[in-house]
Amino acid sequence: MKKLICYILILVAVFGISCIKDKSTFNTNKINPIVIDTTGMSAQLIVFQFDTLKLLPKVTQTGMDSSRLKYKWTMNAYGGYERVVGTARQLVARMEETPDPTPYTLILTVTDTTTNLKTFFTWTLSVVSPFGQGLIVADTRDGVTSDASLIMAFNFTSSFATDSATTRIFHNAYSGANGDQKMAGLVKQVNYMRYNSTKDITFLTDNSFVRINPNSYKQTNKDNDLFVLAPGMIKPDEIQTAIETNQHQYIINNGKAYGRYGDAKQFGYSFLAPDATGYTCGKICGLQNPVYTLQTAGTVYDEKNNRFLLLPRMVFMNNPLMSFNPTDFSDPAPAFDPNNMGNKTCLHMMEGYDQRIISIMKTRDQDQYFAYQIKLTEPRTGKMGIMVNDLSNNPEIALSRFYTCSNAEQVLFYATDNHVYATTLEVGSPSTTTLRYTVGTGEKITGMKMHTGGGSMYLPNPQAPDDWSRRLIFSSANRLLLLSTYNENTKEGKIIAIPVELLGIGGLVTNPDYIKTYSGFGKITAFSLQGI
Amino acid sequence: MTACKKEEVKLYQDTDPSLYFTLSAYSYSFMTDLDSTSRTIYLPVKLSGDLKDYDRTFNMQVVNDTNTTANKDWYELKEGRLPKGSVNGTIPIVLKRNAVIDTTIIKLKLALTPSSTLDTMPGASIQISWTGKVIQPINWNWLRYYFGTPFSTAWYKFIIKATGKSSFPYSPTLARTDPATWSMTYPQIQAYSLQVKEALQAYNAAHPDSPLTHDDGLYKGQLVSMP
Repeated sequence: MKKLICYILILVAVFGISCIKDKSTFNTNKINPIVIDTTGMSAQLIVFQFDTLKLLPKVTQTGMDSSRLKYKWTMNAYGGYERVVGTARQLVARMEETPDPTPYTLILTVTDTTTNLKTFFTWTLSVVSPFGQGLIVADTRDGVTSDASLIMAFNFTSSFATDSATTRIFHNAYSGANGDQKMAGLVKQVNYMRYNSTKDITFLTDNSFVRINPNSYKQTNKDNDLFVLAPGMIKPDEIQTAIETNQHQYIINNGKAYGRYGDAKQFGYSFLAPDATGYTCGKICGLQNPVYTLQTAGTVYDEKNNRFLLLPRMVFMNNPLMSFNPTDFSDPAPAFDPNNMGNKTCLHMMEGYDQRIISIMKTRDQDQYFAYQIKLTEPRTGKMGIMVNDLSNNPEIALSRFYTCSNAEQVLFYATDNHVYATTLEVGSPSTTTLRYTVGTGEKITGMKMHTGGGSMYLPNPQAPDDWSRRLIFSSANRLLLLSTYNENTKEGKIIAIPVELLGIGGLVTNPDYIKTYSGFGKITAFSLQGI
Repeated sequence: MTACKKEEVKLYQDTDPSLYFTLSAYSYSFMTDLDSTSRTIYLPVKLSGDLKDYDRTFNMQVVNDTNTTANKDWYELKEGRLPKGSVNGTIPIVLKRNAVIDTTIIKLKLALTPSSTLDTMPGASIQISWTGKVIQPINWNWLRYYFGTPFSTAWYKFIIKATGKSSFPYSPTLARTDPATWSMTYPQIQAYSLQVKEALQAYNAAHPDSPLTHDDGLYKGQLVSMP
């Protein structure tokens, strides 16, 4: 009995404890969720790099003070990349992320600072390059460093179908993409290269090569990076790209020529000389469309031995340079002997009409100027020097600084500080020279090049030359002469685009309505097309 | 009660600091420095023991067994140094070169010499070997497409001198299993071959009466030529 009483007492004690009132201070409160409402907003966004993205989602938390909420916007990518781009409900952020085929993820995190409750919303965000087809302009404002800008406009950008389309000029795109750092030195040449998805832009100064990504304008390579084997000295002379077909690029460094073909990012060893006399070159010209039957892709001028040499085909960049065949003086005799040019230096080399290579030459110790034309043939013959024009008596030829031509006419343009002349170079006919353009007072020409990239231009309608509404549209490639000018007083550089109205004589349009000017630059030292 | 007696903990006492080589063997080829007649190499050693706030010196000696074929005039042993505050030291040895060394591989076994202040670990020895001999690389079956099939000492020395490189690890077949060792790319070997070809043309132009020829092997006496 005592035992039973004992058990009962124990049970009473246990039940008693179970029934004690809960006096704890813990409380259970219902928290209203944070709601991010993106009604009407796309979950997949596309922005141009460097553009400003603005988003304003609706964020609510029923019954709560919105001041409790904290916002964080981040750009995220595979590999742990994260950048905070905003801390307010409205996102206003400049998109500096590198364009990438894989979209970024934009994450909005809203935190209740009282409860630490978090809510997320994500968008896929593609950052695409703003830098498309156009004209790259290298300039300097201090005479010591350089920057690069990109003009996307009707004249240079095929997708801008009319000149009423907004011109986009990305001033100082290089420094903007490279931590506000400009290039050391003055850019003397700039060149665009693309082969499939391999694209780059290369700048040449007196002592460096700088390569950038055309999609971002960020620097990717420099100097020795451009070569499989580092050259002993970086001393850039020239760069040229055959951009039309079978894309390949040539550079001359310290008197030696190098080539790269296709998606090769680096230049191999320099072309070897065809013989023991060696070579030193400063000018090079690869044909834009080297036909497959040709065993040569272009020419260089050997300043050491006063001769032209032939480049190997672009797919044989490891082959040596080749000599021209011994000149065959039988009737009809060629105009000159490319193997023996006498005491002449090459001022400029370019491709002209009918795939002729035109070289502007000067007798080293005299004011004698010539235009030599070479026509490459297969099989190679001793008659490839087809024409020579003596330019020595041309007006202001001794003051000429820039030379260019179109493949659509047999005309050479040459420019002094303020004049542009056109000289006909028709084979078998005497040349005639005409002053075609004079820059404005205070302006000085700092460069001249025939545009060979994309874009369009207008010309007067021959049926109604004064009626702007009846103007005709043409492709600007090989028909638009580009000048860069500089005004020392205003410290402003400009690109002036002048259409060739009358082909065959280099007849530049005279109606100023058809001449476009792109301004706002420093002193322009080089410019070049940027392709798609 | 005996089990609970307080016992003094014994601290480590560095009564016997010892040195040892961090490598068991060291090979040197004069192919990496074709013009030199001697080369000082620095053998790495390590200390097991306390650091000191002053430099310590030590020596090594030749182990005259079958692992030593070097004549005592073909090398010079120097005094080693263990810098203050460091467990890492080096001991230099000057390796010399002569006609014998250019045709054979020389062996020399060395052991660290214990002293009153620095003892040595058991077996603190190193096997040195050096040579000036040119050996046809195992990947010549690939290099021949760029430098020509014939191999000779004079030709390989010329290649090394023209390029400044002592090895050309290009072998697409070996790279399949060991890409780290056989890391040279096609554009690289192609560029080096052009560099050598340019140097060969210059050499032959400068020596019209004695162009470069193979000096040994199957093609001894024949003119060097490249594809």
